[in-house]
Amino acid sequence: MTKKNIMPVVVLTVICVAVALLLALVNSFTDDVIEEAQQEAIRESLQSVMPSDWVVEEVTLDENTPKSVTKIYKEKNGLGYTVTLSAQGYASKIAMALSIDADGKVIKAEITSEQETHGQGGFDEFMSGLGGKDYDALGDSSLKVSHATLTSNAIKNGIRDALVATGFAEEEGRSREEILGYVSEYVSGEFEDVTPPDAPSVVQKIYREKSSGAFVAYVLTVGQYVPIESEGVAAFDSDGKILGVKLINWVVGGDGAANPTDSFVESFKDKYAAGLTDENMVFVTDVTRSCKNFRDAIKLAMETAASIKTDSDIIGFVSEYINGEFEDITPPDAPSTLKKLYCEKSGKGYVAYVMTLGQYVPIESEGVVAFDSDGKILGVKLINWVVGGAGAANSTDNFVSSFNGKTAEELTDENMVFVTDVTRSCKNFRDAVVAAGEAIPKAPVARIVGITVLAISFIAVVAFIIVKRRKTV
Amino acid sequence: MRNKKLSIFLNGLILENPVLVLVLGTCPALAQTGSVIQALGMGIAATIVLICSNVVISLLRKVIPDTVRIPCYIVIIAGFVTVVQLLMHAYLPALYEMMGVYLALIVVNCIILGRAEMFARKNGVLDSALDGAGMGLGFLIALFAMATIREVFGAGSFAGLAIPFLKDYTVPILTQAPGGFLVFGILIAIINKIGVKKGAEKRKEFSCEGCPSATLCGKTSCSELQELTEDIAEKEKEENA
Repeated sequence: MTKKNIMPVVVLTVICVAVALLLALVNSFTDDVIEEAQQEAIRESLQSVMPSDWVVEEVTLDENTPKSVTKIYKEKNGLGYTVTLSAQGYASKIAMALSIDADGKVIKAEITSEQETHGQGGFDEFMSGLGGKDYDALGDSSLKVSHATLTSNAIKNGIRDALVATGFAEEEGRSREEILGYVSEYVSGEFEDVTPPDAPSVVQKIYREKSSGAFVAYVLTVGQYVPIESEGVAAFDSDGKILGVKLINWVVGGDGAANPTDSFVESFKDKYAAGLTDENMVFVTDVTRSCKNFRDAIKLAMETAASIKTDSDIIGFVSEYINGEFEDITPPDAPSTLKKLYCEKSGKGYVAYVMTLGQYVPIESEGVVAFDSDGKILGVKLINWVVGGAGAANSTDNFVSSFNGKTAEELTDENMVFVTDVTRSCKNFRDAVVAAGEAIPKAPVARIVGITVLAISFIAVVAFIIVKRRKTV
Repeated sequence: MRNKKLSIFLNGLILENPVLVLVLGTCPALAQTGSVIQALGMGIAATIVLICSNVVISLLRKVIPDTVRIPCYIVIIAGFVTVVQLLMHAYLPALYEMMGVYLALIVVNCIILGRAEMFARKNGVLDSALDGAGMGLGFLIALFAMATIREVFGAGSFAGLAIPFLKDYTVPILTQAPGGFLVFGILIAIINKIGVKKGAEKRKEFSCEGCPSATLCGKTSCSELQELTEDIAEKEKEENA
């Protein structure tokens, strides 16, 4: 090893050490300042509910955290928690922030945003009444705003979720692990809670497995003679075929005896929702009503699961017409037929998911429409298309094709082909597509003018440069 | 002597403006010129790093061996960038949040490494500091000009303050990437047109002596560039005479 080889290593090492020492020095007097600045930022955003002397750190949310909880800050000295959450109210999302002390009592709770239809009573009084309450006290019926029961219940449930998330209360009902464990022999993997907020009351929870798309549904029904709840869990695949059913606390008969029956449970296997008919099932003798209640609950759960569509499901229906990265731009004042509106981020176009009523049978017909950036229809896909009195699914190619290449304004009766005898269904759907087309954001005139001016200027500059160069040559 | 010091400082402002003439540091020039505040923050941060790194590299120019000079320069530059980051995070948190990842990217800004390689390692401490200050201010001026045009005409505001009569007549594309490139190109064209004669002549040659990254790209060796630089200096003397 010569001096020539060693010197570069030594010099580089010395420089690295010197820089590291400099950074350590700067860090030593900026570390506390940065920490204080971050705490100040959190305090500012939560100043209305968080005690001023608290020093908090953000807690990572896991899959067991109730969905309404958005952030949890834990006080470093164990003084409590500050939680922000977003609960579904009667007419809007209700954003709240609250602080909980070390004993699980609410210190202060505040609503940060809501658009509920409450006119009577004071929400301020209601929210201040939550102070000093713990999980058990939240069940107090006096905690209610008159003429706004749904809203006040949503707020109480949200706060209850905050207490569950911070470990001061147990989640009501069965836990996620417990429910999934009952049918783990039929389906396993990574699940997400997809229970819609408007699910039927007998359907307690629906989970979907992320990779296979299989579902697990937890239902709660009433027994035949004794009004005691019977519970059960069903696992079914992404096509809606039942993989297996497990009964929990199955109460049948007048004496309340637990009696799981293998043949009743077996008769669910490998069937679709439509196949769960009286003729196809085996019911326990003398407790047919209980069994039918349970069967109906499972059927409802399967139908609810089938109606759950994620954003990628919806966009996937028209992926042959448009693809890319989409964002949800559904306007808050969207027409009732327009359920979702997505915009492709690079400006390729839009996708709209609409739902209308069929002609004779008041069952919803669904469809997805792909528009280009100018609002011209690229393609339409019908889903659960119900036409006619019999409710038979009947997608018609001519009707669908008559949408292609047209803008919303061009979808007139003269320009369209409607399915014979179900004109009203078709027109309902057409009107929904028109409403979706009109909801697409239009570029303001000024922007178009501006872009045009820029484009012309650019072309003029390039032309000038080319001409100048030719003259020079 | 005094004139030479002044010319070193003034070089970076217009004649050899790093952004609009040398076309270096294009990434932060486009990304951080959506608003005037961001542009000023980036310009000041880059200037501080430029001056400090030039001074230190000049101080160590006789110590750092040729074989490890680039890693040493990068460590020094990264150290100063981290210091600026920590100080900004502590005392200007709002600006720190605005600048995001581009603050850390000053480490790989070619202006800083380029000036370290082209100037600081061959000149004294004071000259290197003046060069760093000149180049940094030139960078700041270019960013400020771009940001002013983009924010005023693209967002109808200046440094976050709305301009009432322009607010409804904005051209939003100017605040986005295509608009940034357009403004950048137009400013380069304007500077080229009204640029000082000497600067314009040099750039017409398209040879290695006009390129700030000559030694880095390996097309010329140190000795060849030294000879070329000396030839240009002699030509300038003859012209002045």
